[in-house]
Amino acid sequence: METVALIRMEEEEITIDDETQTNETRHEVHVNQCVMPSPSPATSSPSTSSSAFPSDSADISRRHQNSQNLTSSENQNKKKKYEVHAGRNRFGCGGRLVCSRSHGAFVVTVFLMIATLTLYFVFDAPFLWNISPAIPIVAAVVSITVISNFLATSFTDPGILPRVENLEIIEAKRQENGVPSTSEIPADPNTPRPRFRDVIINGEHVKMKYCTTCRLYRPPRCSHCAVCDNCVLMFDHHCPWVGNCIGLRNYNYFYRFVFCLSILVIYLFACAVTHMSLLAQQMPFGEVIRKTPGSVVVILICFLTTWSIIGLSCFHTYLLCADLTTNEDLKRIYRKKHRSTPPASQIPGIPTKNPFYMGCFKSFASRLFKSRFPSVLDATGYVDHQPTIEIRVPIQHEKNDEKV
Amino acid sequence: MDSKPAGTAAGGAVQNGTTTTSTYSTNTDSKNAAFETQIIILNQCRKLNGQIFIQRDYTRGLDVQFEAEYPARLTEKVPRDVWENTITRINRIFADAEAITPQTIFETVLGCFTCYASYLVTKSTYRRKLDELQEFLDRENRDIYHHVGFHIRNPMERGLRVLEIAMLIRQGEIPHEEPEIQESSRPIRTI
Repeated sequence: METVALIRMEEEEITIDDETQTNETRHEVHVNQCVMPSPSPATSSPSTSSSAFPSDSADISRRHQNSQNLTSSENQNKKKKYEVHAGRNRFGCGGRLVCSRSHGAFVVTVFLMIATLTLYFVFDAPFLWNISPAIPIVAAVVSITVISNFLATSFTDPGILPRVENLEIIEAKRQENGVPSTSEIPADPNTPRPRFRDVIINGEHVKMKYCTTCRLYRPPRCSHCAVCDNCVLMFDHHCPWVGNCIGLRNYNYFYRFVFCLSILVIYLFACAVTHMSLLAQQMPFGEVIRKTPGSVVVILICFLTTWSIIGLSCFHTYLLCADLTTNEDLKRIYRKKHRSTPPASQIPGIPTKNPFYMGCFKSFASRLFKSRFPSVLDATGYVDHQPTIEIRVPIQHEKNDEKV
Repeated sequence: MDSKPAGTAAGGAVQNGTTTTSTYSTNTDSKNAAFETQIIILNQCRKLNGQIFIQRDYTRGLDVQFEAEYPARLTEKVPRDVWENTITRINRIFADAEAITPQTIFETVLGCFTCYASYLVTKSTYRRKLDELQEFLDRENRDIYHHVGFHIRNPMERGLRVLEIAMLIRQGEIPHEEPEIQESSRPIRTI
């Protein structure tokens, strides 16, 4: 037979009169109070701050009921993690969609895509359907791919690292102060943290920098996005056209988006030109323009945007082959050894060879075909101020100290 | 049925205010009661300096792996090979999660063809491996680590930056009871 007791021991000043009353105060205390409790109140507190419940079975069920009422009311008071997120992000659908706050260029992209596709399907598609139904169908399939990849890029969490909470900082500082002999960490609690931590990856030294905003040491290839004010894992760049950072989790969607978009743009351009030229064989050019003004717009938009899109897709294909991110390429951190290193990178400690490079094929496969990395931010989860665990303990009747 | 004065229990220990765990009361009538359940507030364990950090092992790249070195604070409590089993199993779960297998390729291709609607329906391999990890940690904690006063926490709570082992501080123990362990000369990185 098991006896179950549900008593929560509190810190110094809190007295538990009634279990229902304590939870709210307990929440506030644990969030605000970050001081290590001194031993002195300990002796006075047992009498006041613990209450022993008679373990009558009826009582136990009543306590269970109380605690369950507590948890349901706690759930109502509990916030989802996206509501307390400190970065500049916008969340939708209860935290399932994550994007950045700056929307200007995103709207432009959406408008352009919708406009071009609508004009194409209104003006060019019916004409080309008569030539061969495959042509508009292929266009439809590719445009659906583009749109789905675009939405996936825009609204997927790129791999945001949540900021470090106060409790972690306090205990980290105390850990440092408590260790006597490690050389790098001074005993003074007010000393700022060392700026770099050294790590060896595949034989190369890589420095992990300390992020003062997020208060953590950035894992390798992680970077802080200035626009969204977050540290993002495997940070590539912040794309305003997509309205989100490109990072570990949405790089594959972004690459497919850019690749398929370049195919689509060329395809639409070709279709519209074909359409107009076929019409021009039968009627004077002025009339052609009057008949299908949409095609002209499609041709114009496609022509203007194709250069940057094709350039971008070629650039990202190169990055995939070399296993680099845009961020690393821009900063010229990793250069192959046979190239002359620019003087900026001749700072000791910065490697000239990419330590992550495992071959072109591996790079492609690992960036595009891995299983989906989970969202560390966990925007849809609940904030748990008081994580607790339950353990089963055998009762020792004779001993003084509890053997767990 | 006895109602005990606060802080005492039949033969059991009394928790003073500095410790983290909950008190409990036992029914003196049920002397043959085998188990009772305690609820421990983990944040309190943090505050009283009761945790061990296992750092990420980046030597083979960015895949999630943790250092397999035997933490000094576990001496006498957990034998070395038990710890090694635990940590190698954790590393193997993560290695399987991050591997590129025909299954992951199929998942990706299926996602592409269904406009990612398949992601709403199926669980990704990584997510399944994380559930396996959680089950494994629960089992290890229940069978081994809770008995010696440790609790291995899921690394996802810390953003996969570090693996935390909380020391469940019991009555009468002061956090630095044991002689100050000389950790290896690597600087301690807790975040």
